Amino acid sequence: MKKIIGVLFCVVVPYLFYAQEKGAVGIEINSNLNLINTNELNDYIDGVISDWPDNMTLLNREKMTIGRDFGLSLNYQVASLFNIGIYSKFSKGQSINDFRTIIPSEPIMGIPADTVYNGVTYTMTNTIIGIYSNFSINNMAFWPKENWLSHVESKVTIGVGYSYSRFINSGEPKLIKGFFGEVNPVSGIHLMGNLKIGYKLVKNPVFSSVGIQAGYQYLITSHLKRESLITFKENEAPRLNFSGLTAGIYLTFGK
Amino acid sequence: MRYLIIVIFFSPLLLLSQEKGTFKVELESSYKTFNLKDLNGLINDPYYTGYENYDKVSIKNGFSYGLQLSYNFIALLSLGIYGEYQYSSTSQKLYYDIEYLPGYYLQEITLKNLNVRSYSFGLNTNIILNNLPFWKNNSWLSRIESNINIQTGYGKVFFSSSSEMIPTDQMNVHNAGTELYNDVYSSSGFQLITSLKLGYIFTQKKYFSSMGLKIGYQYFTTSNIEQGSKKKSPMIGRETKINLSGLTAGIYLTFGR
Repeated sequence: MKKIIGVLFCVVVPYLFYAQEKGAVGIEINSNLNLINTNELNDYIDGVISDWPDNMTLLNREKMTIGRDFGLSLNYQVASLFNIGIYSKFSKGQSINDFRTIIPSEPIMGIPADTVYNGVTYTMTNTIIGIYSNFSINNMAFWPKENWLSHVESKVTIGVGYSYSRFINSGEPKLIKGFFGEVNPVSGIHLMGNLKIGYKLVKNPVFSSVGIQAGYQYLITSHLKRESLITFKENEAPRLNFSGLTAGIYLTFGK
Repeated sequence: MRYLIIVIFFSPLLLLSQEKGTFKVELESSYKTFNLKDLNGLINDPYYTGYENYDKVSIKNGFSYGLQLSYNFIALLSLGIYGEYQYSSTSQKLYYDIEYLPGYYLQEITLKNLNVRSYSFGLNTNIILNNLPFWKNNSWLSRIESNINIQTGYGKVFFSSSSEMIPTDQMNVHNAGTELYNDVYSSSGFQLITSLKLGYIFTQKKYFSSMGLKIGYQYFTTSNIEQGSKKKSPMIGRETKINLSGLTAGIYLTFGR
């Protein structure tokens, strides 16, 4: 234990001596693409579809593999190498599926008279709030201060938050226009880690930078509620899994 | 002529350029009164409820939570952006008598959860009265902050209803998932909020921090609510605008540098 404390002390203390530019207040806006791992949900929906009655035929099955998110963060630079703050994020993944229903009726010339084409859209949304910290690699001693690299920033971000998630099953793909459908609320813990590389547009008296980030996030929610009409296989209610690689862009502004 | 009035009005203010360059983050929460005449008429219309016997309810007020980011370009004026979330809800019981034997009835009760929520964003301006010379020259006023806050933006409003069967002494029901179904309508409109803020300045040297009260008026009327790409109305022949206009009063917390 003493060795661990000793190692941590030796690692952390030198960084604290680089305490420069501390006290800055900043905001960050970011947007990312997420490769999401929704096998559990996709397999479950496949199972539900396979149980459809014979008069319903699947025409197009789109599986949820990509999500998008938009985030807003506020942070405070406690030391040159670290800032801490709160982050919020809204992420969404969607799959649109088309099917055909033949309503039993007297055929005309061998063709069923009543054929209805419908769509069913499965949407997963996460509203996340949490705390995070950026470790500023570009404020370390070895990072050049004078040449072109002085305008490049590099940070490692870690964060932990709580997600209020929803699974929505509706015929309407554009939910922002209103919809009628099943809304199944669940929750989960969100963890994220990113590497950021950006360019400092302005340094003084305000600072602003723009860049790209890539990393990994973990978000697995609790099981969907069993009362849900889609989850009529009661013991197999799936979880929403938004875990996977993420990559996107960010913009910071502060003073 | 209009430009001349603007120049005459703002020129003295521009000469008072002090303490410019402050970057501020503001969190706020307010109580709001709404004028939801159309919507309250809809939720109490027997054709909309589908029942003859139900509780008369209305949505008259709600709460909002907002975030403002601003930058003081000059001492008396800051410009920035804002985002706001408003929410209000009520619940309504609908009663239905089932004749299970001739002359014998069981009452089925459905609980309808109704809510209105809005998401809006736009530009905000603060006219910083406490940076006027007379204010700064009074020592007892130096810790008091007073701003006129003007927010103008665009908002999206959602009206949502969901229902669930509730058990009674006579009937024990299984929901079968009905409570998970939502009927959601949306509309959008222009938002204008004007407020007077009065607060106490905790610190204003390296950092700026203050906390106080704000009161004002919100104008926020939207188009008729509709659902989906087919623009389905909640009730044929009835137009329902969402009017969130009314008085606002709340608290705010500012931090900046």
